[in-house]
Amino acid sequence: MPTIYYFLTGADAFGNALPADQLYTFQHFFREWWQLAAFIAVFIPAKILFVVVQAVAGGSTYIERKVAADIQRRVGPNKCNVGSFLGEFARICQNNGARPGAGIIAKLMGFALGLALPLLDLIDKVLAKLAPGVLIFLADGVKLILKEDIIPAAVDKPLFKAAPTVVLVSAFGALAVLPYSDAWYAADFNIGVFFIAAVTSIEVLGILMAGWSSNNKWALLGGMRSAAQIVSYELPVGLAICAVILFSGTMSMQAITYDQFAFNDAGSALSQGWFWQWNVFNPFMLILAPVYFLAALAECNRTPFDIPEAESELVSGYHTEYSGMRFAFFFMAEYAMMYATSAIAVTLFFGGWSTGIAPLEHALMVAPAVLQNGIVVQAPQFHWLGTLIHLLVFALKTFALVFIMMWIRWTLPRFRVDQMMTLCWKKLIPISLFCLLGIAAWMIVRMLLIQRFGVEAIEGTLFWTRFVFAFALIGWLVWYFAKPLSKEQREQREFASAGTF
Amino acid sequence: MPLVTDNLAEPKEGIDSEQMVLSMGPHHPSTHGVLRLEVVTDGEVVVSARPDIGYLHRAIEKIGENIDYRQFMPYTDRVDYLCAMNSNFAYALAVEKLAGIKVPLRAELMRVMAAELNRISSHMICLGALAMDMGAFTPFLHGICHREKVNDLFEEVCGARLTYNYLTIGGVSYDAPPGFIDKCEQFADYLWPKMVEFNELISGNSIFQDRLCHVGVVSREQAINWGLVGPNLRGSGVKWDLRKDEPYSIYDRLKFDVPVGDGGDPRGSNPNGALGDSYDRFIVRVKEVFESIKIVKQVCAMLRENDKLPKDNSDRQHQAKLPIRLKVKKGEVYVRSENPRGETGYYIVSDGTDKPVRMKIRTGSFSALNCFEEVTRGLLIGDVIAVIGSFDIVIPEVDR
Amino acid sequence: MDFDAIYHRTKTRFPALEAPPLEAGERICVLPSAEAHAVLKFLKEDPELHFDSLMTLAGADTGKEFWVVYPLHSMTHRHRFLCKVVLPRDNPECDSVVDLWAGANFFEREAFDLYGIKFRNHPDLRRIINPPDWEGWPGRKDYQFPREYHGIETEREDQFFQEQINRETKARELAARRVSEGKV
Repeated sequence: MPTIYYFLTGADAFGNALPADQLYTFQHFFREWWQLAAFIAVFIPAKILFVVVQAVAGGSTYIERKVAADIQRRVGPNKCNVGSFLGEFARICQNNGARPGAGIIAKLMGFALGLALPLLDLIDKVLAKLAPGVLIFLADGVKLILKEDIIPAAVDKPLFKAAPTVVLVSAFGALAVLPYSDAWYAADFNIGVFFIAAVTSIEVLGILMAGWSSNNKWALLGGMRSAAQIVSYELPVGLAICAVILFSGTMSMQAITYDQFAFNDAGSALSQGWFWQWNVFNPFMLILAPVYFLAALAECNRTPFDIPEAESELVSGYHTEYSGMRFAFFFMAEYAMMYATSAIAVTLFFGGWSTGIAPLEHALMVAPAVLQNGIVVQAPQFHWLGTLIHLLVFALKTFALVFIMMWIRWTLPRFRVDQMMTLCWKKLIPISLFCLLGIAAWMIVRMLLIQRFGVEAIEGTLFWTRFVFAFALIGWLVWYFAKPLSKEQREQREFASAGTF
Repeated sequence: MPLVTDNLAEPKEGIDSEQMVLSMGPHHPSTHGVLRLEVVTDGEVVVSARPDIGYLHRAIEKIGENIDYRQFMPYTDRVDYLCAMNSNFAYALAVEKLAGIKVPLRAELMRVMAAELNRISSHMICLGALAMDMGAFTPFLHGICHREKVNDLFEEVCGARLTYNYLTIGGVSYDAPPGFIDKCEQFADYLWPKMVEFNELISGNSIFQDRLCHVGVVSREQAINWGLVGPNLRGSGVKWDLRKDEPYSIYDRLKFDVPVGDGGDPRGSNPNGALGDSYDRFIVRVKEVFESIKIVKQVCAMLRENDKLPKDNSDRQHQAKLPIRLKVKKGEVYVRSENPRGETGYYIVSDGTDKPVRMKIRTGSFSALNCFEEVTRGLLIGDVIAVIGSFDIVIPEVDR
Repeated sequence: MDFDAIYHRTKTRFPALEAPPLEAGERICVLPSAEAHAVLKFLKEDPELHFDSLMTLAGADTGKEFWVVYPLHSMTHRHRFLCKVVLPRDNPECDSVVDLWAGANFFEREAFDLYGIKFRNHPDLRRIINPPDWEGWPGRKDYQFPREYHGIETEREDQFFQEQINRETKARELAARRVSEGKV
């Protein structure tokens, strides 16, 4: 904010000193009462966002455990149920209220909760069927908070204490610019994507601090590996982001979403909001989306890139010496990064909050997007129901990618350090560079064709080309996964034809 | 893929670096037991990884000198608790050879059935643990799920789920309960497609192959010289299986193949690797499970035939008749049998009394740890874990 | 080749070999301790015999003497041959065979650890199973378990432990009696 800049330096951005009466000092900054209130009010949505994401991150530890259990053919957590927790609490109050020496408040509470017991048991039965053991994440959180805060004697205390905070801040910082819906976002910087790349790279500092300050060779190894990994994989991430920026012409997250939503003005009103207008259906973007996804997995230290936390080698890597809530910070930061990077992938490649079904979008639209020369100059406005649906769609898409991350974690083994580096430097970076150049070439060709043939014709052609490409791709995917087994595979699965006796 | 260490031969000028001494201590997240490795690394490259054992030494051999031959059978379970039946088997064979005891056919059949089922369950743990060390958590749990069924079968037949004490000198403790043979056959039918699924999940995974191929290569001559046995030896290309080459019990009547490592062969199971690398040893164990399933089915058929004999027939007995005090003639014997981890050899010296003078237990994991330092020189830390897992080292066998 | 053929082939080269008969079990050949390494080298390198696999290397304490037993096996010819070296009770020393079979390394360390048999020319002869500062040779028949180790007492003052001590004393006396009566 310019005011803070002036406040700190006494000069404007070009180094010209400001006249003294135009300098803002602190008392001038807040000389009106409502300015202070506005300043504080900025933090409220941030706080709400923080709490919501923490809850979601915590809840997804439960989902991860259930997904893991399903893949591993077991049940997973199923004992910590909402109803059982409340029911136990109610029974304890009832018993306490019925004791001879109970006070009036205890008696009242016991009586009231005793009345509520049948309802709580009913909730227990219903919820336990839907989501058995869902409160395990709260139970784990409470347990971690109540644990003894062990700080080993030989660690570097300031670094040790600061490291989890740094990692958490960097993971949560990216959430500020995500477009959760068309009208709901915390902040829409015009350098949104750049901000994300910058903020998430602070994580490396936190991890290095954790590894170094632990005064433990294994933690140091883990920290070093993680730093090398994250710094290396910043490059494919950055190149993918550059390609999208080039393609969309803007760094603002909302603007990228609008660009995917309203791709062109090709004639009819139903041309805005189709799913084949999403970025991913461009051939170079189609290659870049998995590249970004893999690099995002590496940023989150998830398997197959979880070398820094490789249990069997390094006990726990850089967070070996952390216990209790400090460990929980690292843990939450990992989940928050998963969500943040998935959300970024959704925004950049998969259309953000757009449902992809144009008739639905048009039914919910109050005012369509206005384009000029293929660039959105006025955002589409939606009915409040539309905004809500968009929020749900965004959440669902993000969660689908997070689910894929979890799925991959429980299926694949992990890379060795040099294989991981080879993958990044020798495979992902050349691919992303190639795609970046391809996108640049695409933009140039498009510009030349527009100059030759005019915007309408080109945008119309692109619309229908995209349509064909998208359906061809989806059709091929369906065929590939649904085709029957080959003869060899069928034979291998049957007992009688395999092996000799 | 060339090893990272290929161009580390020359020391770099002007770079001041120290070697780091790490202790992969006795408390280990990998499920291999209490093994301590003194690892000296130069960055990520291992300069030397010396094993330090003895944390699980229980002086089983010395105990064997103080108790009766028959009393020693439960101790053999604990020599390698993952394949307790096979450990029992080796000891029983040694004492029977020394004492000249003939085992009835039914007992032989039950012994082989128990040994092969235990081989399957032991390999489930080994393969699963190797996959888990490589970061794939799922195959281990699938293996445990299959192993539970084997444990249930064993619980029916002898009451225990881990250390069975099922074999005795001269036979087995209990005959097969009713329905046991059907359940074994059902298990064999259940497991074959599950092993195919296991293969699809992890064996063909290119990340897994990248982790294991060209890692810890042991050549043929080295394997024999270092005394490696079992799947470790077969993974290096030596076709040697005690069940085929020095057959004992009824193995000469059973038809099964002996899988051998074929790394580097483009038409084999390890086209991307080298002969004798970790992936070869892994694949040999996977194939051995299939072979054991075949053996289980054959033994089920033979048991069914044996069921038809009358009860007082000597072949239908599950335990040979022995005197109350088993006096063994004076002599020495070295007998070995095929363990999932190699061979278990018993060298027993007897002086004509009912207690042995010396009982030496030779196990495959001990030899595998012997060559560990040589094999892991120049590998990365992640490869050290792969080598431990692919050698299938369990520490109770090493320390005894 | 069976035991007799191998034994005679080796005895022509090294006449000091013996193969006493046994009541049961396998026949085993006794090597003279001075020439043991040479005999084993011959057994390994002779093309007809070619014992390229040392199955195990066992130290043994019979009460009267120490044995080092070498069960040998040939992968090429698929035959086996057991031989042993008899060592005196005081200061047992033997030549190491690590240069012939690298697999003997840990086995010899174990024999050293349990019986105190020193192997000459072993690259790294130190204790393997017991802690490096352990005193005594635990495998020997006359081994007394130490009363304390680094301040940790090994004997307790309760009846159960006393019974165990009595049992161990009796076993030790029995072993000593067997030795003195020449039953081993």
